[in-house]
Amino acid sequence: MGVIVRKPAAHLNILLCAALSMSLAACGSTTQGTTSAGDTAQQANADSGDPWENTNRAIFDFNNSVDRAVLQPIARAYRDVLHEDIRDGIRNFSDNINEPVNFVNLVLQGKDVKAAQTVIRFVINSTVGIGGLGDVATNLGYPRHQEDFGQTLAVWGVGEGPYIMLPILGPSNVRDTVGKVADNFTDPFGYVIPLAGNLARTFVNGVDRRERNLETLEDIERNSLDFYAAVRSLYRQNRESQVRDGEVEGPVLDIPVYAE
Amino acid sequence: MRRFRSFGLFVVVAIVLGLASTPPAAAAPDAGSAQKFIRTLADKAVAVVKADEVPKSDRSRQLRQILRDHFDVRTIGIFALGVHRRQSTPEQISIYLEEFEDYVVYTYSTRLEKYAGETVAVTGTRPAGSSKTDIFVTSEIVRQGKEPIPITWRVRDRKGTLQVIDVEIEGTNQIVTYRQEFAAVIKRRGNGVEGLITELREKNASLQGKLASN
Repeated sequence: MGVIVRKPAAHLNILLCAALSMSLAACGSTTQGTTSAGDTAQQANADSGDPWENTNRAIFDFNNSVDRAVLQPIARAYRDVLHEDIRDGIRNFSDNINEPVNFVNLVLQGKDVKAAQTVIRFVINSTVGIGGLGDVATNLGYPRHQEDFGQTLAVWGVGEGPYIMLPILGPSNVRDTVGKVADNFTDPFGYVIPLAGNLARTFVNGVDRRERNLETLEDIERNSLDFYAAVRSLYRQNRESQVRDGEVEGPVLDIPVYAE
Repeated sequence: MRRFRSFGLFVVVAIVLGLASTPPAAAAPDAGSAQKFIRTLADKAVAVVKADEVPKSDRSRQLRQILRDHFDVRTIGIFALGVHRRQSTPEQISIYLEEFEDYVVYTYSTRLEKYAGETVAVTGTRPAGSSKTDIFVTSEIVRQGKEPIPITWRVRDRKGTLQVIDVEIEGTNQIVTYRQEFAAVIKRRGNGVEGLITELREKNASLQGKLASN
């Protein structure tokens, strides 16, 4: 049933995705131009990658209202009601059914060793780990490599494009938004599980993610001068680090020696 | 002839003295002392957070001391100002730096609480690119039953004194976050660094109030 429902929509989305990709390539080159124009230009326009700031801020406010009214209470209840071990199991399970997406993107990025590790990992956790509830593979030397199509595009040289605040889903940019859509297509479980199951999966993922970020986001909101700008900065930096897999060192920031 | 010789001697003495008084050539801090420096800093911070008997107001005072002893707040603050530094007077900058220091103290007074009972393990160093003054020290916050959180410290040798100038957690640089956030504040409020100072003052008052009421 789910398969039938999703298929026609899929074609439409591919077109949309292709159209977005093309405009994205343009965005990418613009961003690169700004960067090569020099550090000063980049510093002067620390927010130049956010041409839709007004709209984004409005969506951010909306998201925060929804968060306070709905998502946060659910995330707190989720934490209070379910024991940590059970929450870990749920997280492991949803991480495990996401492994095919990681695999596809690892292959697309040419990271064949990690791709192979991911296959072994998926097999081990799906069997010994009882359908993915337990993460046995990490301790056996097959760690999780989280990759999405946004990162793949970045590895292929596509710039992040304008920053975009997605309703409910939160901070992103044009490149990562396209990536999210594309990952839905390469995810085999998206076709196998009925639509209701997929919605439930997305919902549980969201609650789980929110639960993990309860303290962090509270901290940022409490301590920042500008919550929106702080989230934007952290999102961008964090994504950049994910693209480098947190391993390959990025360029060393130039912090001058200021005169007394 | 005598005069010439004594002049020659004078030149030699001047050169020797001159060399001796020239500060040693700038060099990145050596790995051992940089690690020891972070070890000491972490121990002090952990002690402050652990000390249950210490009142919260004293905690802020102690954190401020740690900050002044181990961090180059001036470099961090000026970097965070970015391009707006050039349009600011020295007076404005020194007022800003005072408010900035308060801001860092108050935010970290609450921020560090959630790490109470956890320990820091210094894991190594790596060069800061080709920097002649800086080195990265890597460490981890070790948590019970959870994955460790990696933290990288950028340590600068400033005239023989080691100081932290940046902290990196999960791919985010604190100094970059400050700069991008402050740029947004200045853009939103206008009025250059003055607008930022006003917002820092307001935030500091509110954070201080929350700390006092805890």
